[in-house]
Amino acid sequence: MSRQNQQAGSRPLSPHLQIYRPNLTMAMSILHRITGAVLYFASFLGVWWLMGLASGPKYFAYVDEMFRSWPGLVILFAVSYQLFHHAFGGIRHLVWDAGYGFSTRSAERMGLVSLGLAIVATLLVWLLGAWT
Amino acid sequence: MNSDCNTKEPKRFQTPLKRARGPGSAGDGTGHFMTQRATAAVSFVLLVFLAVVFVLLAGADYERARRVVGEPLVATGLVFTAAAFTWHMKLGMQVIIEDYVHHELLKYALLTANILFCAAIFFLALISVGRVTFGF
Repeated sequence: MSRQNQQAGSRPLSPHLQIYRPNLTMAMSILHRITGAVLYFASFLGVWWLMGLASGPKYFAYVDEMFRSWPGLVILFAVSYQLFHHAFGGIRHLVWDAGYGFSTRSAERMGLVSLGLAIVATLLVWLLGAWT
Repeated sequence: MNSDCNTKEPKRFQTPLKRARGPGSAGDGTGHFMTQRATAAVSFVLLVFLAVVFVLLAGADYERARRVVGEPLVATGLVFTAAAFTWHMKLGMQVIIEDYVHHELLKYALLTANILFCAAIFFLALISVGRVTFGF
């Protein structure tokens, strides 16, 4: 069709996604972006709570009730996990940016460790929250 | 094709001027890259702070929540967190938009909306925490 498409046809192209066997680092990569996008919009939840707190006892009671309802708690739990997932996953990126951890072994291991830390941190925060 | 691969100079698809100028299609990027990493590192530390505040406020009623959030150290930390998070959000969503939206007009509309959304989140947090801590 266009001149661009004709040119693209004669260029060497790198193999696309479906060529590769799915693996952990691949999943962690796209999950980093997805959790980031989810957290972007979920930031409103935190601000909504602060707005409730600033607005007075009546509106706060409403916001608090929403957060403490079952759907509210499930959403909060999911958001908190994604926050830790994105945070620990982000540490991997900082390590790579510093020039370390590029071997397949290190990359795989960092993926597993960040996943484990995210799960542990989420459970720890909710257990401490329920306990106090 | 094969003869191209055997020449000393590897085949390039950029003009020398484009190569000399460096940046890709966005026109710049180093500042964005560095700021994204800096806000990421700061955000990680602030996430620890946020987790502590979350645990402190888990069972709190209105009065207690206002007292805790109104504490200067907590209030400052929350505004700091809002600043770091929303700045990082702006940079991250910008990359997503630039990656997936190729219609020029829509792209710039979304890039603008991105800035406005992040600014709104920050200002809402700032005003709310301010109202709680200054008590009006």
